[in-house]
Amino acid sequence: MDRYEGFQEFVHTRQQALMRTAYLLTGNAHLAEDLLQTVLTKVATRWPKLARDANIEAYARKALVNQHLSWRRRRHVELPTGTLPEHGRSHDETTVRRLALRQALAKLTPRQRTVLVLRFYEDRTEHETSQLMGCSLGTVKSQTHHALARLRALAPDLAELLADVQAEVRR
Amino acid sequence: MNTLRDELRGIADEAPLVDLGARALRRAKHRRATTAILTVAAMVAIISGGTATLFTGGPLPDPIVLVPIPETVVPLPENNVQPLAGAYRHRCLPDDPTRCEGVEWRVFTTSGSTYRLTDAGTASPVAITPDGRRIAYWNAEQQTFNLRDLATGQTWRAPITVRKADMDGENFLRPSPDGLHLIYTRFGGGNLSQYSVLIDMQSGKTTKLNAAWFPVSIGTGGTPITLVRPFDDITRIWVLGHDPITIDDFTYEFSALHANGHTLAWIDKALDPNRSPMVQATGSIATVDAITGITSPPVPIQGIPTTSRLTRLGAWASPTEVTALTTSDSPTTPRQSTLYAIDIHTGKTRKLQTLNNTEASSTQPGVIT
Repeated sequence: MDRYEGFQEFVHTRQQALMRTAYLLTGNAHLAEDLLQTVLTKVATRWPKLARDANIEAYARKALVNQHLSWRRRRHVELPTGTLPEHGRSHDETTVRRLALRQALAKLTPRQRTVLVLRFYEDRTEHETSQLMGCSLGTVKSQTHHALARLRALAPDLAELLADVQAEVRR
Repeated sequence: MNTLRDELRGIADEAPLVDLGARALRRAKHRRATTAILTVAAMVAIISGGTATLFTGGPLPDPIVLVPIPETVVPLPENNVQPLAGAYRHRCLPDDPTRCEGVEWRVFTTSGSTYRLTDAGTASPVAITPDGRRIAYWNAEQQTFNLRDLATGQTWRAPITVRKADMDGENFLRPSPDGLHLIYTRFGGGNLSQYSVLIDMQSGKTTKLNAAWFPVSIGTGGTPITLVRPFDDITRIWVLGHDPITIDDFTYEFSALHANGHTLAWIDKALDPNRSPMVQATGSIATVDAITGITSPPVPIQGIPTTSRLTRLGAWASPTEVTALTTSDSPTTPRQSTLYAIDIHTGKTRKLQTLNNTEASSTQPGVIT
């Protein structure tokens, strides 16, 4: 029997969803692909055991987060270099807002960025986020609080964007 | 108003499409080979008095429970796909992450994966062989039917042309258990005439069938072919090569013909002019010898909830069990369907699969729709 039986199918089905998270974590297409490639290789290496008795999706997501955090500790990552266009009729509001968010996200610490992606993109609970990041519930709460505060400070124009999640965090 | 969630999803949408399976596999194999060599080297070091130790893989992390986030459904891979558990028409939403448009066919596998069947036109039904390994569908671009083997990726193309306009009306596809023979029948709408054809997908040979008859099943190799024709209160059954027989029931809900070449099951019904609807299922399964016309007494079905009704039969799950699809009738709970195997002698049921509302809305392997 092929020890990798079912792996290709898993990749076909889940790689794009994982890629979206990887892209948000890294903010860069090449790094995201590199990150996901590393994680999928890890999954393939352990495939027989994972396929037998583990939640493959959960393993892959946890590996994605861990790999990202450990990479960011030792890698220099380029920040988006574009400058924000001045507000005016010629600029699309959405594009300006998104670029501002991307730049602000790039200036967060790896943990702050990760906690925002898990909490507000993947809609994970604080408990799930703590499991994925391998930290305590208290750390998730404080990292979320700090991340939102820093986003507000870095990009005051995003205040409206952050209103609902801030209310959520305060509850 | 946009929210942080919306913007994060917007950024995620910009992630490039990737196809990393083959590369990851290559790396894993390379790593495995390298690890094996290093393991041997480490053992040599230990034997020779060295103190190095090498671990080839630690324990897996503690299992964590995660709710899957909505996934991007990818097109059906060319090969290496697990057997199918069903197919359904998916209505694309304006912000569908797959960027599909209109309506498209989707298939789902026994292992829980869902794929887009992008080259299948939705004007026609699709049909899945009882083992789930092959699927027949109308290819919109080629304007004909295809048969696809999910594991090998081999595709057969029917030698006839069927335009979208030709499919105005009721269309039926019946594959043989191996899929290599296909019956296509059209009960035309508008000005179209009825049409029924047997297609040998391997040789390309076609044989016209009597289009007044409804196709039920076709055996491996192209025979036997079973057709039925309901009238007001009887139904005629015709296994080609034999004389038609008649049963005292109006029904389209038959099983496939048994591998013994003569047993056919159907959902027993009774007519009562004082109720509505006048014809209702009795909760029993009936069988007939489709060659001699001898019927067996209907057998009450056991183990199906009273809130469910038997809607379809299909292929034979074992020598004495036929597959059956039930649908829940309760107005207070979401519609749910279940596939059972029903023993035709005892009426006992065995649950095979529970389908959600979406999955239940279309086609399951071997079920005659």
